[in-house]
Amino acid sequence: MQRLMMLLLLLGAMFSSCKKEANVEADYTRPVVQAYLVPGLPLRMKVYYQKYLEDTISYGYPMKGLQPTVSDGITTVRLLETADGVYEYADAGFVQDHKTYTLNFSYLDKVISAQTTVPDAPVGFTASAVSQEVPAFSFGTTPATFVPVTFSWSNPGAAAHFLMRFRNTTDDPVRTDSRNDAAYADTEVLLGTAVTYQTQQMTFRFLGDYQVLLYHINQEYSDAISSSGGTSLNLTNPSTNIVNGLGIFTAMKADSLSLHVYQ
Amino acid sequence: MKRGLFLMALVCLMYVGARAQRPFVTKAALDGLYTMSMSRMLDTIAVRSNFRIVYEQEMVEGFSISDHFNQENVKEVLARMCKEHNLHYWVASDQVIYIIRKPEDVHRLMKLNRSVSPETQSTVPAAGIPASIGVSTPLKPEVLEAVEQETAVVGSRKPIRLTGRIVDRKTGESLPSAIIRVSNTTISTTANLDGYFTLLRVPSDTCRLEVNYIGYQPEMLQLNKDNVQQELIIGLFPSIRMLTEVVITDKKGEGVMSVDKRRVSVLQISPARLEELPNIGEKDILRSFQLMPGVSGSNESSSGAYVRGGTPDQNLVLFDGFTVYQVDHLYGFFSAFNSNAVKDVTLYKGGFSAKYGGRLSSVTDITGKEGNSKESNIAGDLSLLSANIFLEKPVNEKSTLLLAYRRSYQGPLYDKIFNKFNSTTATTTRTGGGNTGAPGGPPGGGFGGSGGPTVTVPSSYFYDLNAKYTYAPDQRNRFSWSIYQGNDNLDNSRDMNLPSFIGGGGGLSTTDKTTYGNLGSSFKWSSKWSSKLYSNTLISYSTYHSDRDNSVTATIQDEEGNEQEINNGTFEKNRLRDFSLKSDWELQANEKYKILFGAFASRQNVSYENGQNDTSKLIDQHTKALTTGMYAELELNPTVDFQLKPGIRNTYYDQTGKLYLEPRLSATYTLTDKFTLKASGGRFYQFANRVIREDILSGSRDFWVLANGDAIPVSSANHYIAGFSYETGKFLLDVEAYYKELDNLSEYSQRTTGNPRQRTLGLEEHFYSGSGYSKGLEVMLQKTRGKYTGWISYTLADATNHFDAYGGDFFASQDTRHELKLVNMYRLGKWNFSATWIFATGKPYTAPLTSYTIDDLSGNSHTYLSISDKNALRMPAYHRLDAAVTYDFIKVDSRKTGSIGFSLFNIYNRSNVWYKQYSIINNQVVTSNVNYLSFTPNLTLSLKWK
Repeated sequence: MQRLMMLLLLLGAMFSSCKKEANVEADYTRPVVQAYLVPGLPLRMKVYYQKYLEDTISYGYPMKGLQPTVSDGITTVRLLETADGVYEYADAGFVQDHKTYTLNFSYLDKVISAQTTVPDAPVGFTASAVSQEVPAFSFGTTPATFVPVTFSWSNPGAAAHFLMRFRNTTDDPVRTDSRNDAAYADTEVLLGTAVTYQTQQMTFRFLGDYQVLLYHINQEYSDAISSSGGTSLNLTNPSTNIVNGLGIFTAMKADSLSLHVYQ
Repeated sequence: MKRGLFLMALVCLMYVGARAQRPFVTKAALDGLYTMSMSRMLDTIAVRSNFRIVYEQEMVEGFSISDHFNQENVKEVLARMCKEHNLHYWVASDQVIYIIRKPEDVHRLMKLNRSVSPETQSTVPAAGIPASIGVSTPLKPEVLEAVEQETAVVGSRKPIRLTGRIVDRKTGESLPSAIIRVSNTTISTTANLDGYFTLLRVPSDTCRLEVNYIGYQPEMLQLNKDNVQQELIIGLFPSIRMLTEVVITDKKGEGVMSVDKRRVSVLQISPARLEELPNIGEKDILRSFQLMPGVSGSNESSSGAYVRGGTPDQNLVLFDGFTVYQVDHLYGFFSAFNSNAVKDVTLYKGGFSAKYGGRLSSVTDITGKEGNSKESNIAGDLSLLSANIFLEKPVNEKSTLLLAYRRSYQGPLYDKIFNKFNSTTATTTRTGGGNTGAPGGPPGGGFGGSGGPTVTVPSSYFYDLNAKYTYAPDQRNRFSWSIYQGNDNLDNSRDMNLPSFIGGGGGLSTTDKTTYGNLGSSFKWSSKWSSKLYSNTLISYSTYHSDRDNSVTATIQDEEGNEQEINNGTFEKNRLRDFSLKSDWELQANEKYKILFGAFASRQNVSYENGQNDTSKLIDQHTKALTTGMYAELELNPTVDFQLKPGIRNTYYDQTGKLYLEPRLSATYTLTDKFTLKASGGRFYQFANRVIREDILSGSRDFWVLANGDAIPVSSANHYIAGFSYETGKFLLDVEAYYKELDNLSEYSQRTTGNPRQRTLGLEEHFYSGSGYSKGLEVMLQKTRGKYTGWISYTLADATNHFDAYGGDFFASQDTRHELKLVNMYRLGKWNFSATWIFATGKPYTAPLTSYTIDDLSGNSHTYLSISDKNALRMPAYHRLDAAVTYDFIKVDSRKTGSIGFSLFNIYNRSNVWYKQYSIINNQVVTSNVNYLSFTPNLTLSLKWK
């Protein structure tokens, strides 16, 4: 029996090398960056702190007093803080087609950086119609069928990623359904590498003139915006292209069409 | 208890006396002149009738018989003989006949029978009486000698070769993996899949054979110069709990679970004894393995085996030779196999034979029952979860048929589990007739005729069906055709009828339906070419399907009565078809070598579709793969103490166009009678993987994909196993340590890109690959005999994965450091008590540490969780206590047997955490625990007509 115990001990010794539990201390100090570079628009970046799990604020506290720079490879410009945590470079001509931009700033001995390239403009963006009827819904009547408008564009080799944004340009637009009292917001649809999109009734909660923008985006955008899981079985870290930070610093290029929405 | 037995015996005697002995049914007859002692005559009757006869020598001493019979039934002979000598006979439920003078004798003889155990047996050539033997069991050793001298004149000393078959004496069913041993020697062998065995070089024809099979009473067979010439057919009796009150010495245990000390990392289970263990709702063969060391017991949501740090898809599950791809019912809470249709289950925890391949971790080999070849039988079980019916029937002298069907009904237990996955069901009110609690009621229910919107909930259920037809034209060939079908229909759909004042009427139906299951069939031909060569050839077809339909269909009717249907949602479809052919051969070259060899080919066809409707498919994959190969394994016994099994398996996989060579080795060394050392190892490849979806609450939870050598590589593993077992009269200590290296593991995640509310967009697939290792130490101390049996099992384990995508090393999701299982079973007459306690270290999980919010380009805000290192945190420890009481109400004539079982799951209502749910409420991240099953009682009623 003693011999047995010896053997047991020996086999048990195999496990003496079990590793320590990984350090789970949070890295709260990583800044959250949000910047969308569109040619022809001034470069504007927001930087936030992260939020504690029990915080009830909508956004993290703004990170003030940073000195961020953005380089296009030739020129390096300093962004100025125009509001708490909002940094801008006012020259709308700075972001140009096909150029690569590098963000840099330091925070708590760490250099936070990110890089993005302005993609080509979408090619062959067309719509099947210039106007869209949204049938009214009321009791006692049968609503007319919603006939979608189909937008299409080209994407050889399914190499490019796209995003479509519907922006109502009418002042004080009328709601399609008076019972819907939600505030107006642009609608955005991530399209992946698709080459067509059909409108849906739910897209149009307001009537009037729309600017339909098709953005050629970098994949980093859809990776960052796509949601991750909500349980301990499927949590993954959200994707980011910010080194030593979180969030998104990405460039895009749009083409646009007009669409009139009526009832 | 004694009083009860006495009364029972008395009643029985009166019954026996009043009418012809109904339970003693035999067609055997005597013809000619018989002049001999009564004990000798009893032997003769036993041989002719296939009944074991137990008597005390002194009771029949001096009595003799001298009579001429003319085709007289042995029953009449026995009755007359007993009457003449003022004796009675009593037939016990296990078909043993006791010769008694007064009723109390029965109990005493039973005790004697058990304590001395069968001492001698004589076999009759198979040609004489099919598939059975007759035995009488004199209880005194001196009698044994006398009988031996009468029967087996002088034993020859020349080594002899024995062949035979091990069967269930009551049903004629073959018993695979029964162990046959020559007494007082180390010569032993294991019966193959059809119960056949060959023993070469048995020292003499006066030796005795011991036959052990889990769940059956051990048998002894005395060889003599006649029976060694023939093919032996040795019948075993199922162990009857009532009769095993006495401590049996010097015999293999009769527990529910056995560990074969001559084989490495092998566990065997007896489905017949499963009902003694506590259960959730069903006797569950795969669940009971979870009580053993090395198989994780804390995964309530999976009946699949997590063996030694492996995942269930790394466990090959074979049912009658074909691969089963879906092993569970109802989100994993129940295993897909009906224990009534299963004869034998063997789990190979690692280092398995070259005969098996295609999986990294383990093999579960399930053999279905063939059916009773002697008489028809019908049996049934009813529990709070399901109803189960079982039929077996000899079709003619050469063939048997077996049918088993099980179906759940939507009782409280089913709902409890179903609602864990479908929380919305709880808030939906049920209306309509016939759908509130009626077991097995039709789905749907009527749509109320009232004007308001009505909502109906269809029913969900699972069922499985087993059918097997066996045809044995002769003693050498057997053909069998086996079918298994199991399906789950999980429906959480809701139909809503819109009242006519809205838009002229119509309906809105939300479909949320998941169906998955298996259909498999195999045709097997086994042939015994000679006493040395045996083959088993199998053609099989197995399909797996998993469908998920989560959509909204709106039907609007306009004034003209035209219906318009609007359909939107997610549809997923996964199909796997596997057509296989294999042939396994066994050649017992001589007593030192046995060669196992064979070839296999398998065509697999896997498709996965994910779409929003029939026309738009986001993912549409079809893969076909051909796997072919062969294997050979040598079983060497250079000395009687040492066994070595080198093997090699070579597989060609057409997707990669490569050959995969898998060397295997296993060895055992018997140091002393009690102490055995063992070791094994090998290399293993896996070509088909089941990927688990990240989000368990939406979509099919998992699907099968084939390795393509690119995004999904062919995964591989190396096993190194060493251990020993130490066996004393009542205890077995089994210790094994293992180390497993894993490479090219795959993980999968699917991410919807875009606005999930609009369900428009793309779906991105991410495959990650990495490596890993697992190591562990398993200790089991088992008490194998007596009123109290059970075991303590402890596993110390570590499963670590390495994926670059997750930042290097992390604990695998199934990693459990310590696992302790206590299994206790106590028998008291017709009562059986059992209690199990499981303790396991909590599983690792990933938790959010912080959150952050950014706006997208259009200004809509999105909140994200920034998370800890992968699996860096641990759930609280898992533990629970289960208990069960089973009462057998066996009728004295052994014709109707039954039992009633009451089972309590999670007695002290421990809240074991399954996973954590994080939701963002009012910008705050709120964590809530989703727990496993709380306290759940269950009642099972089992009845057998024969």
